[in-house]
Amino acid sequence: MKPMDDIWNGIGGLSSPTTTNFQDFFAPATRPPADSTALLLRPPSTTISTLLTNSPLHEDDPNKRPPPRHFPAPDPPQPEYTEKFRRLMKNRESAARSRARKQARADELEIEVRRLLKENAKLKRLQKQACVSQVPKESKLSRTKSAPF
Amino acid sequence: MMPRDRDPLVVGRVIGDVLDSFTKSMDLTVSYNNMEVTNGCELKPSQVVNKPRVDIGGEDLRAFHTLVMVDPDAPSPSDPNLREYLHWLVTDIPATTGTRFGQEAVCYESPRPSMGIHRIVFVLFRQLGRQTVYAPGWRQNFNTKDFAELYNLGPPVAAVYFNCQRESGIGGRRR
Repeated sequence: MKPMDDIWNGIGGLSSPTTTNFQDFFAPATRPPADSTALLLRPPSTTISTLLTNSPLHEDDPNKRPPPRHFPAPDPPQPEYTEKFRRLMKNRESAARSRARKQARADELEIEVRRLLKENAKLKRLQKQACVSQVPKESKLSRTKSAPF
Repeated sequence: MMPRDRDPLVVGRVIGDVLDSFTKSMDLTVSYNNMEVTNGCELKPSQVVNKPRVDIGGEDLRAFHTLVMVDPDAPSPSDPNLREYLHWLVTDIPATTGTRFGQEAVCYESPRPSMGIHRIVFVLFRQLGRQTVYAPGWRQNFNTKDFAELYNLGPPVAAVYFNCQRESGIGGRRR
């Protein structure tokens, strides 16, 4: 498996978190249509298993597919179609999602903090004003015994 | 290095996977057991068993709104072939009130993710007027954008999301 690792080490730009769908790496001929709905509904195993086995599609989980032992591949085999590649890409996507989750949470908390600080300052101001306006009122209390009855 | 966009909805890919970019113009407060949902916070399935309290802003009681609650990561974020799974649909919500004043077109189904960490998204739309919304025949493969277009809802006026994973164990691992 060493040659494949070398290939991947040599390829830059794959660590970009924007590439969330590894189908982007396939040749244009095998790329699914641009419509994102169709992209998501079609299981990724479609393209790979038709290329590898020429047999009816395997059900559901691409991880359950048998390794392509009978495929008369030229040596070295195409890197895109191996189990290792798929695992690699899935792991990359998972890592990208994890980073996005972490970053989104951090950004939201920053926004919350700023909002709360602002609100706090405003409330303190209002409270101060309320206190100040209350004090003179007490001294305004006056006439008690001068009623006409 | 990709430039940081500080909107959590963009960073969390809610804008992208579920919605197009929009400008927030209404207050939307979603609370489970007096705990307000803030973008990207984590809630357990046991905390979201019952429908949340949803309050919306605005001023005009005659303005009606629709709330959509979807899971774009169903059944699993690495293979979301059921995107989006519709959990709740409430229409005819008057401004300044909440979902308890609206019409529940699709009743609340609590999120129970079995694989991975799912985003659960609430989206609020403004309706043109009081209208009949026909609930879809099933919850999976709902498309919020198409739904909005179908009922002339326009762009969203507010949205918020939280993360949810299986109650026990590591939500992300699949062996």
